[in-house]
Amino acid sequence: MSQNLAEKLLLSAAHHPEHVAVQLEADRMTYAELDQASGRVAGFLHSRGIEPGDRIGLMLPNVPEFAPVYYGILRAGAVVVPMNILLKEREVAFYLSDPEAELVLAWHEFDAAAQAGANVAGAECWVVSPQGFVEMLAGAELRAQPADRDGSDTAVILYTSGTTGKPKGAQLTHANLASNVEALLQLFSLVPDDLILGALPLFHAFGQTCTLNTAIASASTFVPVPRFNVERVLYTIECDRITVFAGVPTMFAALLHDPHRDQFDVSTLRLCISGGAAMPGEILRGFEEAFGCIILEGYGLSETSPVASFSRPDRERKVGSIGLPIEGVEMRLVDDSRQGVPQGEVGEIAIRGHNVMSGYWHRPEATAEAIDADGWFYTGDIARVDEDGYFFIVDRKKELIIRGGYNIYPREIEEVLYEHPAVAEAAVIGLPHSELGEEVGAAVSLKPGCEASQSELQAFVKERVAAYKYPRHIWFLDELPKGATGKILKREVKAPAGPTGSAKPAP
Amino acid sequence: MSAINTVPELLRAQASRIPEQPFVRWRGESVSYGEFDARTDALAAGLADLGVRPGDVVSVMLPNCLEFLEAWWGILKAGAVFGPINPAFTAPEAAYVVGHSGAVAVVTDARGAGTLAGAGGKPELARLRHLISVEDEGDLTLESLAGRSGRVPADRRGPEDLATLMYTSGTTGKPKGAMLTHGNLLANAAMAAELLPLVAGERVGMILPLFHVNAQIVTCVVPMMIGCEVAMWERFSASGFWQTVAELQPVAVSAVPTILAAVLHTANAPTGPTSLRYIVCGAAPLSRELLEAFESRFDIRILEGYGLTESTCVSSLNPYYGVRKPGSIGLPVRGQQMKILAPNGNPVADGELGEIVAKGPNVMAGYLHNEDATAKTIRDGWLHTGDVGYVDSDGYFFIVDRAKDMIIRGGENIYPREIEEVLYTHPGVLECAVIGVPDEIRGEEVLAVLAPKPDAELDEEELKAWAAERLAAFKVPRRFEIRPELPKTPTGKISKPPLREEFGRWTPAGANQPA
Repeated sequence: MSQNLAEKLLLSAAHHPEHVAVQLEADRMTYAELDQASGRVAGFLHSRGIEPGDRIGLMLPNVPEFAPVYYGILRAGAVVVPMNILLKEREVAFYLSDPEAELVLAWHEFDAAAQAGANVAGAECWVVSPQGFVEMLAGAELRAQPADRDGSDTAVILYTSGTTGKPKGAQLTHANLASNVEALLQLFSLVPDDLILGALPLFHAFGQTCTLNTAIASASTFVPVPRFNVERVLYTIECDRITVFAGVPTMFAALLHDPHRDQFDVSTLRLCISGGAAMPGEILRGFEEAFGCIILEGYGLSETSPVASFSRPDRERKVGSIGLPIEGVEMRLVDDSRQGVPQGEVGEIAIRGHNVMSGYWHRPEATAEAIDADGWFYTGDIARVDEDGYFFIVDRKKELIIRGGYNIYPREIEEVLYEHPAVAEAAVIGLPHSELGEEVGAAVSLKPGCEASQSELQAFVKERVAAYKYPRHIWFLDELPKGATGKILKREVKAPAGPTGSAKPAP
Repeated sequence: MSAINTVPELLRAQASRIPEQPFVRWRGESVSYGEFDARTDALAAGLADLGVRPGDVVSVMLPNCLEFLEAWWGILKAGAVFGPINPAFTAPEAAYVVGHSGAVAVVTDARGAGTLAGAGGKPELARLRHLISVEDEGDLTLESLAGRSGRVPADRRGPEDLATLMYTSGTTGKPKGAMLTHGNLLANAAMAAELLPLVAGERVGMILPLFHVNAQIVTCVVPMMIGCEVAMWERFSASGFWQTVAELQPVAVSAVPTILAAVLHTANAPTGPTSLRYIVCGAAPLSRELLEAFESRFDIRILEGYGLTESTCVSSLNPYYGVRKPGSIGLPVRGQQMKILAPNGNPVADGELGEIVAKGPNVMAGYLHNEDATAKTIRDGWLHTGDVGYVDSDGYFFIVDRAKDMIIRGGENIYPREIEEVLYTHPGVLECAVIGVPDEIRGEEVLAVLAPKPDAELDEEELKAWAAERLAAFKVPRRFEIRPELPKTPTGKISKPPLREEFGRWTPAGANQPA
């Protein structure tokens, strides 16, 4: 049997045809309907001359149409290139020309950049709107059989946002995605009666795999959230009786801190999934208590499908840990020469297993740099592992601050800042310093109605970590800059102009 | 046609059937059924985006305008409960309604926002999350809500669910929230629709404020049910009335007696027939004098009716086709029972006075958070109106007075309405209100407060003589107060509480209570 990921949809539709696959308010699509719709998308693509292996841009927000389009592309044997709906023309042109995509399907509310970028890249642009989608499908033939694909064939190309240089396209195969989904199904114990709230953008690996693909594979109901806002999520959890919610830590923080959340009945929630960034222990503890459910934290990168490790519901969950490697995946820590580090020491995480990408699209050097001959993928994340095998992220290599010769990991300082009751968000960055090389700075946003001064926070941190680590400069913002997934974007955090250098450090 | 179970389903059904037909006319612009349906869908999606859930109350504090209608129907489509508030309320009055109803959002204008700001921060307003402005600028505008492009909320409501929460101001105590269901509204609109001659495409004029049920039912839901157009008055003025009628060409309007009186006594009456076929009149007693004068002068049928917020809107109506009896509130609407009860709860003999009670699918679900008041008002499914009246041998109902307006003078029950009727027959009297004032000897004494017609002069002795010729001695007012005008409620009814306050009020223990 074909190893096309789309087979999972057919299987679910065969067993639960009348069960709701995707719902958004009054729009409901059963598994039978989703099966049909993705079959017609495949037919539509075929009529545009798309062949197995062709790359197709998918630029849709979290709308019900995402599912049939995604599975339709896979069904046609083509490759999905998911794209952030907020990409500008120049970026769209890159995302389409780098993989030599034939066609991009773009959502009608953001199609201006898509049309313009597609023009530049020489690709076709099809605009998708709720009404237009219905018409598009009505005119298309139904392709009942998914294209025959081998597990090693590319299913999705995910461009990872690099902080330097152009993004690189991580190629995820049908087998990569299927194995990731299977491992998660076991972890989450999803059943058809589950309703999974997808607030994470589906154009990122985490949302795609952890919400949409696990929902389809388990024949449960996927409820997309087109645009995250706290009240809409609380409303949906109550009105649609959501059982599983997946988000990034900033979403959990926002939900926890909303002054009106007590007005909503969230008792149907049984499980939350967090990933994409580090979850501060305070938020984890606070959310679990307030919402009465457990949060499992996962870790991984686009290049690893994305899940590499997860905390487990059946074993001790350690606060601040990204858990244990999932079934079939190995993780180890290495030093700068890629040798294993002794137990108890920090090192870079290397991952090997069925989840590692086949390589970067048309970037053999970058691929060879990232994945060694033994199949280990080097993540650039620094971690330590305890005696029980639990991994704890310390930081990304790039986010290391080196101050007067001492290594300072921003994550550690942020963690401490989060323990202060007035702090809502914190980002610790290195500031250039003429004598020390780098100085530690922190951008902080406070909880509504709370007050704290720089000296108060500095004293707080100094009580808890070695003196050289505390942030010499703290500045306060209404909120910290975030990316599309809600992760705090450190590279957007800038210190306000002011004296640095050999001035006496704050006491 | 599939059954219509909720009020918004009515709009959707009409929009699907007659999308191009005009639904509302406001400031010279016409909005079709289809456009209004799409607009309210967008608002409903926006409200859901704010976390407004089915069953949540959303208040609307606005004067009559297109945005009021849009907000009202958007709220219904979100499955939420429409809670109108008089825009002239002071901060404490508005805060009470918002707080007691647990409203999560208020749709208002700059004036209303200013009023609510005066009430801000109160603990009872803790549930209030959003202030939605109908102005062009602001943190959260109605326009921006409509622009959020979410999916329309799924229809999660049924006939038993609340559609409207109307606060009725009693003469004592805090206002009570009458809960009206989708079933109530649909039933009562149907009851009224079959009695009002209207054809799809005709235009109905809306003058009365939308924060009362009359405007909502008679000049919105009923026309929608039939496929008519609603022409909204921007502001009522007696002197401009006929000009507006000439502009808008409505076949019917709904009014209160003070509107009829004002129009009757203002100059620039039309020289020929107008588009108006009939005027529905209710909410306050309509004197025979006024009804007959208006009808004969303008050749427009006045259909006097009766109802309460607690009976959704219309409980009885004088028929367009058939006998209309001046002074009567007409025949009970079909599908609702109405009868007269003696104080002991038994039906009265024919023609005898007693309390008017009503039972039917238009009777409210009860008062919000007030089981006591609900239990006193609705007993065995019968709504106790607190109005005293009788039925004649043709089945026409007549109201004598509100039980609580009754004056007890030396042990005699006196109904002010009866005295007012007599005083209205005096050629110089424009408005009058008869109340009881404290009296050492008899407990209460009868006082009449009067406003003269333009260019008329009233003399106390002459009025007393006039009354004495027509009423038993004990009913003749002992005092007359002449004023340029009388205080009114927002709907234009003459308001007695301010007069009682001015002249003192005496409530003896053991005074007659209504049944």
